Amino acid sequence: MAQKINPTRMELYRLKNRLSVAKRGHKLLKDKQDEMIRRFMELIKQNRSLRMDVEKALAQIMKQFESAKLKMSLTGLMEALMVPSREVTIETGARSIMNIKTPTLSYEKSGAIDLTYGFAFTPMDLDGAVIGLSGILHQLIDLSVVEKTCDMLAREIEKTRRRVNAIEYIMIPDIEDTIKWITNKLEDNERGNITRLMKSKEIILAKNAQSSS
Amino acid sequence: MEKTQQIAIVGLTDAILLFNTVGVRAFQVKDAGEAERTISSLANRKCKLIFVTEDIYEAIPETIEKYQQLPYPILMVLPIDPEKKNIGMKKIKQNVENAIGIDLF
Repeated sequence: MAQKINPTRMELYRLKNRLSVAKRGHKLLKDKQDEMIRRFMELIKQNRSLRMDVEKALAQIMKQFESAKLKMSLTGLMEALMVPSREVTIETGARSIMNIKTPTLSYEKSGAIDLTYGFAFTPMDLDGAVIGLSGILHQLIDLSVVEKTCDMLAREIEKTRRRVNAIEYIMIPDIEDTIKWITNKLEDNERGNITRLMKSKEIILAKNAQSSS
Repeated sequence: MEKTQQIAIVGLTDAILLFNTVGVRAFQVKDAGEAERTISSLANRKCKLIFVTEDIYEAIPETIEKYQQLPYPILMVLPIDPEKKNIGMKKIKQNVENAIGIDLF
């Protein structure tokens, strides 16, 4: 209970208003949290399956790359990998999920993959690795967006939960306690007043009786 | 919508050079400090998506934390090193734990 509060009707009125706002806010925040958790669960499932696919594909590609590395000189390999076969253009934007700005990326494929190195001195595994990687690039981009969204949602859910708990377990009981205290104090004052009035009435009546006799 | 051309990858191993061929700019670094500098300069140049390898991701928690709060650049961990540390999956688990309170997966 907040200590420095005057037990007045004005204060009581103000606190009652605050209590109703806090209860409404609590309900809203709780709804927001529930909806965010629902969205989060959808996204995290997607995130998990995408990551599993991507990791599996990447492991395969890296295996191919390693075997290509064994079959040719490092400088030759570096040379072959120097020139990008195509430009990747991504378009960035923002999407709002429950008022959280999350990123979106859309990826434009610029035609089919074109191997830019000579085939004479490079092993077949390298071609496989490059083609495989270009095949999963759009998955990588999708995964990055989903993962970032999940990150941001998880953070926001945690924050909202803390807020909901603070309102539910600290703010609302605190206000209710204070309201109770003020009501008690006011009733007490009222009773004191009535007793005083009765006492005064008695004295006055006694005085009147004395003077008339 | 804003158009940008750059996706980058930062890592220690030479395997990241493979990404060069598909249009992702590869930055091979020698240590975590250099990786941090590269990432911040990439972020300054408005690079929106940066892939990092697992060993780098583990070595620069402050930088990761810093960019986690911003929508861009997106830093994503990829298991490119020979020994897999499964950081991506661990991160998903941690996110679920943070958001829901228990680990569902």
